[in-house]
Amino acid sequence: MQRFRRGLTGEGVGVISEEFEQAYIDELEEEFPNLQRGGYHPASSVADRPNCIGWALYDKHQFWDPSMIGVKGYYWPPDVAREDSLESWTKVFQIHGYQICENAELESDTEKIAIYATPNGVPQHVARQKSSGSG
Amino acid sequence: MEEQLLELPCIQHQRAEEWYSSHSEEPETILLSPREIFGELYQKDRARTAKIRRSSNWYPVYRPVVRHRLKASSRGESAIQRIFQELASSWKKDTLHISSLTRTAMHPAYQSIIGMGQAAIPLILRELQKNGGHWLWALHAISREDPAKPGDDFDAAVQAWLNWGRSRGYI
Repeated sequence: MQRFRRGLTGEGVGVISEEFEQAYIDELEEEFPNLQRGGYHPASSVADRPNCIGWALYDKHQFWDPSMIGVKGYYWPPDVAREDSLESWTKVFQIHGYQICENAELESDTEKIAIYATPNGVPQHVARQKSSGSG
Repeated sequence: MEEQLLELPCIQHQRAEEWYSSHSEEPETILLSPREIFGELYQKDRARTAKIRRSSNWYPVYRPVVRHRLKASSRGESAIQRIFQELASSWKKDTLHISSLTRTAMHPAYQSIIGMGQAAIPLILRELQKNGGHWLWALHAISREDPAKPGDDFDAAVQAWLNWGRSRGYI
């Protein structure tokens, strides 16, 4: 998908202990050993971590989820069906200015995102394409 | 040594019959490890076992309630605190990379915390206060309240719940 304008921005949650922060980093490095080999560095606190939809839309403020009905503190656009489907997730990005694109090639004037889904169309993750072309 | 009883819901006991047949030495109790209770999703093998008292709806119902009897630890930490910490730790580890909050909240350990009922509320609130996390579903499910206002973002909702807990003496 191609992105044409930015989404919302905001502040993250600020109540995380250093112990938990380190435990989270340890878990990440254990799960993804190539992180250390690639010389990564943590760019933000775990407290700032929105879920992937919010991150892809530059929204550090809200957690986006279609199914958290009746629990305040979570967000889903009112005009989008509250269902964990590829169609529903795609609609979210379309109302934020994205369009379906034909390929995943890097284009300097557009930003692309990828929605990862299971073979039966259940979305699992969203990632923004970096300027290097990787996810 | 102090003993505490709490109720945990067990989810999808697909091997319930097997468990029962192999743990039926005592008429009304069986011994299960937390790993057995939570099945393959419970990744770490726990050496400690729990004495489970069968109840009429334990078998073969899929969401039974069992009594989980554990002795208090020598460190003075109550059994319920230890169980909560184990469940919370398991939940966080297993759901670290899951984007869907619904799938996260449906994890057996999270559902078991909800099944602990009112006793879990102060533990959840302290965990929320210390480490954040998606505990609003559990708080809402247990208390049947929601102190957050319509339109609150996540931070505001967390603060509303912490204030709610303070006003009721939970934290």
